[in-house]
Amino acid sequence: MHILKKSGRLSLRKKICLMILGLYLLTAFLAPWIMPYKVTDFSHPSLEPPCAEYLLGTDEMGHDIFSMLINGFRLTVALSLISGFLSTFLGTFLAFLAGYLGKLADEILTMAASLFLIVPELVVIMFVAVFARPTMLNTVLVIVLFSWPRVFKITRSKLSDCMNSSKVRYTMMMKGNVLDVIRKLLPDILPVIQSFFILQCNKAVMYETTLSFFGIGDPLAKTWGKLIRAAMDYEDLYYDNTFLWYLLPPILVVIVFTVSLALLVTEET
Amino acid sequence: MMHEEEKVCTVKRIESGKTKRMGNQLRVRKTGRILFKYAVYLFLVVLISFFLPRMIPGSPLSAIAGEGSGYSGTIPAAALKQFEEYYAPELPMHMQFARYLKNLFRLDLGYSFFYKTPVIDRILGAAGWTLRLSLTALLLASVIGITLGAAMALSGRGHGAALLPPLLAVQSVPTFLLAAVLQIVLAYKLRLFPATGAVTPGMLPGQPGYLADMLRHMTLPLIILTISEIPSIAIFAYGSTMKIKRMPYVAFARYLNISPRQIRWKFIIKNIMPDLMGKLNIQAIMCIMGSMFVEAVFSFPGLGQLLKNATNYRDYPLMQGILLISCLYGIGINLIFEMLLTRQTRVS
Amino acid sequence: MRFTKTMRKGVSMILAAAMISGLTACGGAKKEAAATDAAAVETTAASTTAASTTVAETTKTQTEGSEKKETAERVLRMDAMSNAGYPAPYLASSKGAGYAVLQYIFDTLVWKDDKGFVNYLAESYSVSDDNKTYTFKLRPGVKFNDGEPFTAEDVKFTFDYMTEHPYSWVSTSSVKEVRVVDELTVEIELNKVYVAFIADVAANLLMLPKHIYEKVEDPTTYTEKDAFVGTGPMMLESYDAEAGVYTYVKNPNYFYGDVQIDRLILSPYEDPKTALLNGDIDAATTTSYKQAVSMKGTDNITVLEGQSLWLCRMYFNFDNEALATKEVRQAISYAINRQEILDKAFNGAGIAGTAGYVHPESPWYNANVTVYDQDVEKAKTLLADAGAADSNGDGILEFKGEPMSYELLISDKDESMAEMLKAYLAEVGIELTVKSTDDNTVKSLIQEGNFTIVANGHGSFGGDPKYMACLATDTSGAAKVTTQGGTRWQNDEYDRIFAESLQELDQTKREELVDRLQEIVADELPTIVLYYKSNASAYNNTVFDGFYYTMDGISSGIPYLYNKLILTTGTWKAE
Repeated sequence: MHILKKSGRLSLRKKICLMILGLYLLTAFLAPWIMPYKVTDFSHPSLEPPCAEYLLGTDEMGHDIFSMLINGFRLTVALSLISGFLSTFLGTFLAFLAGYLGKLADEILTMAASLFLIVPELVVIMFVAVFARPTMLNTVLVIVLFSWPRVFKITRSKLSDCMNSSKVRYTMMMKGNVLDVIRKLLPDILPVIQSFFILQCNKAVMYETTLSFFGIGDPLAKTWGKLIRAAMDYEDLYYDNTFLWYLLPPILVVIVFTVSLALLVTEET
Repeated sequence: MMHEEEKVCTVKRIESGKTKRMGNQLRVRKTGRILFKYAVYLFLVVLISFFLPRMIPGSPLSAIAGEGSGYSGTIPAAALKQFEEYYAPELPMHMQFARYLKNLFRLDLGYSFFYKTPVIDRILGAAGWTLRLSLTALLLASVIGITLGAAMALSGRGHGAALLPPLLAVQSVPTFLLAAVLQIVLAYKLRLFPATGAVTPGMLPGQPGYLADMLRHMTLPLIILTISEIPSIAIFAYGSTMKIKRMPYVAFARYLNISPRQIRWKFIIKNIMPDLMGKLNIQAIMCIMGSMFVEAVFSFPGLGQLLKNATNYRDYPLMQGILLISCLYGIGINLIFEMLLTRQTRVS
Repeated sequence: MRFTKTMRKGVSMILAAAMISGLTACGGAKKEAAATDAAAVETTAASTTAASTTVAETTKTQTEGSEKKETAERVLRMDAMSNAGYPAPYLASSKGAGYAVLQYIFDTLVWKDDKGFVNYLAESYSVSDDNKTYTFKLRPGVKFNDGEPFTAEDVKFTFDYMTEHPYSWVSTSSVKEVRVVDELTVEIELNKVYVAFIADVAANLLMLPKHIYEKVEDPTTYTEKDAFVGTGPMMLESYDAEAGVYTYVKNPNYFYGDVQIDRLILSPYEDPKTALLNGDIDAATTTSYKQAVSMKGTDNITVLEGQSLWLCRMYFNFDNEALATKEVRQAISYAINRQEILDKAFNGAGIAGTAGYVHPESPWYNANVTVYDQDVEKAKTLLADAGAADSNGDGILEFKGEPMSYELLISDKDESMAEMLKAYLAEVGIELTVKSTDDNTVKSLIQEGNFTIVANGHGSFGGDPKYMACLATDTSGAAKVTTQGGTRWQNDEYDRIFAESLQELDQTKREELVDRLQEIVADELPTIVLYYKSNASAYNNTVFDGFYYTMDGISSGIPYLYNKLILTTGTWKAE
């Protein structure tokens, strides 16, 4: 990837971010081997404090919290990557389409995108998510469907700068289809898309966590958001120190993840 | 001094000559175009709020419409009856839409399943709390954020830039997580603030101590919301200030030996304002959303709490109402800001 | 430079305008909250009904409030079960939470305290020899809190009105006719003998003021302030629909003792234990059992343990051929570890379910019913015997060609339980996909029969075993609050014995009948009880003392400390 290729010239901050994200990816891939127990296994004693056997203790039901946290890497990182990729792809593709078709299609798409940018995105997402069947797939779809406008807007404006370049005109003249145009323009637009991909991944995590907190989505998919909600529902959270190993770890992994993504993408000044 | 300042202004006016030449006629036409654009937005929002629930697979409304999604039976019969009274699904689609429009004009957003009162009553009842919280936070965050951002940009040798990463970090923390953590630490553990509610239950407006009680309850949500709003404003103010700082008229002012203090306040800070206005409208919307999540954590009786109840109890009419109203709010805020911006001559 | 100045002015104006609109919107919200200040009602009730409390009235209430403060106003604060809607019979939630906020304002003919039934609005009552006619002598001098007297006309009106506009908490279908004998005597004739009439109807049906409700055509949307006029110890001062806060003031003319407090405030708390320990409330009754018990030994805190009046059970849709097969249900019962569900999903706060439906600590309990301890092998054998086999090797059994894969509907707070049920049934080859939604919806879907399998809990379960009506086809007038709809289990023997038990006046004979009912249920398993929940509450005994749990729960088994009589019999301690 572009960013990775240039990592030799990256600042220390970005290097650290990349390392952290690499670690997240690695954990997600190796999760099945790292997890000491299955997430569906609730045969352990409940509410054990951390010990050698249960690194982060167990929850009320007797799940190993550490295993759930690691499993969350798989779910949440996957959800983040997939939603991030799809929404970036959708936004970019529509931007190309708008540029290629021009005129009415362009106007309509731009209008739709502007509209979605000025209405509270998350309320729309929650609205749709509540109406839809609660599955992981639907959560991803909803996030993708409603978070492309930002990508679209910026990509579209970048594109209009390049659209008039000679190579594009040439392609159009040769009756090239939209894919040909994309192929020609992609190199120019790639850095923007990369940044957006990361930002969209970041957003997807924020959205998923928020939806879970509001109790929307697949009830049995133990994402970090679900873990946070479960911890906050635990009634004695504020009386014993359980929150230290039940609530704080998922909050920390979410925050570290979103912060690393955000810091990776910003320009040095 | 005065004389020199005027000169600079002239320089700037020449710069912005293009927009200035626009004249009144153009301005009116532009205003008309904006109004038209927002009228279309408005129509689109109404259209979306009408069709979206019907298009989502598995939605109770699409079930009513007879599309048999296999996920029917998500709402109780009594509620369904009210639903049907409001939407009249037996009518053809365009008639339904006409009916929907008519209802909207009468501010009839349907009947809340959960509260058993008209949706509009609940939304208006809650919106006050949300506006109070979010706009106060926006005001505070703007003052702090703009000052901070400008100060960062104006600090010598780019020391201020060192503050960017922490700001970005705070910005990327989901607001409700921030709220949840601070609630545990400050309200539950240290007991510095009340943990829930907007007033002590049973307190009525006008009662002695009501205002103090309200402020005491509002403090923590306000702090959290302000903290979550500061970074984006500060980062943006930083960017704008950096941009203005490099403008020729600023360099010219320096050349004219205008004191750095004057340059700062008269040339830079004032000139980033129009730029910031373009940002604040988005921020006002973000702020409402942030406020809703903070409210949900603190059981603060605003729109967020309403939305939480609406999702918890699958109160579809209420959800639809909140969606519509918050979209209208977004459109309204943007319209106001855009109109304000076109009325001003802008530095290009 | 001109433009920047204007610009700044613009910003400040927008902000100012927005702030003001925020404030006014708030004012509007408060005004909207229904309020029945005693004086206000008296002046307006006769004439007409103002849409909402005017500002003047609100101020009046407040000045009264501040005057009282000088003589140390006695304010009792408690946690509410939930935001249960406006406290009028047709507006409040049709669940226990709704009844709890209603009973402070509205009264019944007979009521209950911690020991059992007490004659309440009725001074006494008698039953005819054929056990079909009840004659109630009403207490003289009882007044609604708007000053109108309460008479036999109101009783007759209430029964008629509630037949016309069914009130989901109580069924009046057992009543044939209500006759006014004189101003203070009323006769209620039943269709047939119904031994639970007092417990199920007379002690539950809230008396409405005829002079108000006779004008109300649709009580489900009537929110004028005279909708909240009753005879009870408290009067509604305000209800904050946003926050779910109920504020009541003392009814000075209450007919049944002196109310010991001036004001009662109920408001929902997510964490009632913290609220109690912080002094935000004086009694915490919606605490979980474990939370309440954990406060034992804390200074000034009294912890009360109540009866178990709430159970959680599985419902099956008998349209499904497999689930309608007895052996399949028995196999499911053998597959489940009830004790583990209780311990892990519900913190062990209760007793694991037994097969005969009746609570093991109830005097009506039959200890000899079949016991289903978890036994995976036995479950598999039963399923195989019933004809279920995994023919395609996907790990899921097929029953008559149909894969045994079902949707399990649960309320969203029961996700842990759903996860466990899913795991248990997967062991024996039955697949569950979990659908969770809010509790109200789940309960409605149960009543409509719109589900495959549900696991859900309910109260209305205690005292007289009339609650076994929920498994009978003909409920003979018993309320159907907890009955499932759609195609359900039907057993002629059960129906016959249940009907008999409702008319059997001899206690020993009735016990035998109820024993037999439990045996049938334990064998047939029309429903599988997962656990019985225990209750405990805690209160600060330096503020108000004398709380108790009502015998068999308030009304039909609401296991909380809300009984209105506590407000007259308890003692105010914080002077």
